Amino acid sequence: MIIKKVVDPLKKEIEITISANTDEEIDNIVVAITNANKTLLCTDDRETVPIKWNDIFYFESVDKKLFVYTKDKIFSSSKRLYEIESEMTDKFVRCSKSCIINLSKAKQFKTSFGSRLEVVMTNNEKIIVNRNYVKDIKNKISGG
Amino acid sequence: MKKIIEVGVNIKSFAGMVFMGALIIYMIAKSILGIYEVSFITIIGLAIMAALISGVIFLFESDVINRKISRFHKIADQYLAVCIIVFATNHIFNYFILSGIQYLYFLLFITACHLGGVLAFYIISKMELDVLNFKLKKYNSGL
Repeated sequence: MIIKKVVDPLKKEIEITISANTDEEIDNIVVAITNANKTLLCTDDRETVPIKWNDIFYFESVDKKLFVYTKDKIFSSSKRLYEIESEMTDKFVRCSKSCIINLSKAKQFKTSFGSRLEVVMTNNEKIIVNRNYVKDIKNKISGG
Repeated sequence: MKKIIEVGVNIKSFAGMVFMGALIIYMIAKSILGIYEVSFITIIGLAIMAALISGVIFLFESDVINRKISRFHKIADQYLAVCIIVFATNHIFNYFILSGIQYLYFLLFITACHLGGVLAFYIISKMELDVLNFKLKKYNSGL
């Protein structure tokens, strides 16, 4: 991949030009760029802060409350897990009834009891994947 | 239909590994007892047992039986199921005449087959996990 960086003080807006062989490749890059700046409003104590989707490691729903986990912080959100599921970018996948993980932050898969899978995140947190969702994850990383 | 063929192929390749594992374990166990020969009938028996054990292990490991039990409990249940099936069918059809020390050998035979199955399953799941981790790395490097 060749990346050309041009800094022009006269430009008022960011301009991106993508050249590739196929439409699919261009679409993937466009999705990645648009998702890079997509944010989700979360609550940290009493303050509402926008969190980039790319910085989110996983979502967990506990007692109808949604918690958003980043590398070293936990935020809460007023949204429900199904709302997140409809908004989430393609890097996110559901791994249990109450959890959605960001696959781009996953480091490794390990086996766990009862045919379940354990995902080790890049911050070394471990999340259990329910056996019903293992197939979805396999399909996702296989490009299905 | 495609699913049935897929399951059939999986069981067949798995049964092959169970057979190999069982044969090795059985030969080692018998050599410990001082017997160094394996008869053709035993090999046929091991093949049939491997197919049976593959079916039982597949039932426990797939979603057919949706029970939340520990790995040890699962292995113990599989072993018990295999023993019950083999001894019950043997009692009805009398394909093995068991008496005295032969009971011990037969039990050893089943145990070897089951351990072979567990070993084969461990190897297969380890290989599957390695493939999955490789795919994850590929998926994340393509971001």
